[in-house]
Amino acid sequence: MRDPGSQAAALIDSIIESGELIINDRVRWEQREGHLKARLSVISQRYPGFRLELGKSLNLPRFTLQLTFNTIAARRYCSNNTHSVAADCPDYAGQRLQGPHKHRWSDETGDECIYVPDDISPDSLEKAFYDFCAESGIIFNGVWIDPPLAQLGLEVA
Amino acid sequence: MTLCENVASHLSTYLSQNIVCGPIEAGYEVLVTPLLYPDRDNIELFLTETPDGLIRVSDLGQTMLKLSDYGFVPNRAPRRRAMIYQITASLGVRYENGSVLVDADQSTLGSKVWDLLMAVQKLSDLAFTVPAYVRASFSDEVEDYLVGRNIQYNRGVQLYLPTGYSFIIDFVIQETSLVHVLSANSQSYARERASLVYQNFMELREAQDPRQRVAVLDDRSEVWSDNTSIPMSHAANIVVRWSKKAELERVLTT
Repeated sequence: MRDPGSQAAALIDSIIESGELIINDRVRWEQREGHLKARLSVISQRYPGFRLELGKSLNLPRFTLQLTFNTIAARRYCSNNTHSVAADCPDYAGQRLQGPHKHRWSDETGDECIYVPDDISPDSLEKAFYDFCAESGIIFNGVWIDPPLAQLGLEVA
Repeated sequence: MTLCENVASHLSTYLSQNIVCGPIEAGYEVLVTPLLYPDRDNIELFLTETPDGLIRVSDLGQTMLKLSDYGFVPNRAPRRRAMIYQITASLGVRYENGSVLVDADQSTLGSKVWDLLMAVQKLSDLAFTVPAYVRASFSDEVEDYLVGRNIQYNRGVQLYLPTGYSFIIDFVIQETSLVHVLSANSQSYARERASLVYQNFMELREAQDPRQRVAVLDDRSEVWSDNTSIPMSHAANIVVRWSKKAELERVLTT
């Protein structure tokens, strides 16, 4: 198995581009402190260690979608945070961006650099989930379950 | 104006220019600050008035959501929970249902919000207690080695060749050597990584780049077979093993 700390970026990129990642799991939400979390196993024939995590704020419409590889945040989508881009990042260097963005792992800068994807819908967690899977080369054969409304402080009919 | 007054003035200006109000979200006014989470997302605070006329300022759980993404989950580790309470208690802020918050009146608003910001910043830095988050890469080790020997370098340099090919070289050493570092814990990834380095070096050779092409192999794992390393030696000028430090120093300094 790969050492997650060394030269992970090239490996992650190649696996994402290969389209070999598959999820067969059902989305299962669990309550954490101030948010809900769901974690899905991601199957790769060549490299174990991938996982998809969904985080949903209990207080705001915000959510995160994260593909991890041996605990490295390979990709992380933030639906509505403000981000200050470092001067040595390839995109938007030195700018402050408000709104949806995606962190992309680099061996040099970790998860600090972002880009703004134009094919992930920030309006709906479910839609964004499917878009995120498509953009990350993940085939989703599992079952989507909405976050439980009661835990979000909403009325359940 | 003294140096200190000058710095204080500029810092004050910087803060006032970079603490801004964002769009209202879910009924909350949003204060965007220049302080950053470890991934450089800005720390944002959410404001509302309480029924008794105080101003409630809260992170609305964003810090714990961020820590959760980093793998810091307090409910499984009493020591982690203790760290959270130590930080919040020392700064006099509340921790409720995953949110860090203060209630303040006009006379205490500035100092309480500052304490809240400090608490959020300290909490977010708990990400650095997650071993996976701070694990050094082989590139980091090579960089430490270069720093220790006072060898001038640039790391992660994008190269654009006259042929139109472009790629990122791991290190440019003293403008005379282009270095790729290779580390793997499986033979399949070793082949994959070596193949990419071979391709980059062949393109450099095709472009007649005069700098020497150096491959540094992390040979602490026995993954570098002849079928992997021999083709690379055809494209590189030198393939040197990490365990041969004397040879590595000679290659990089001459």
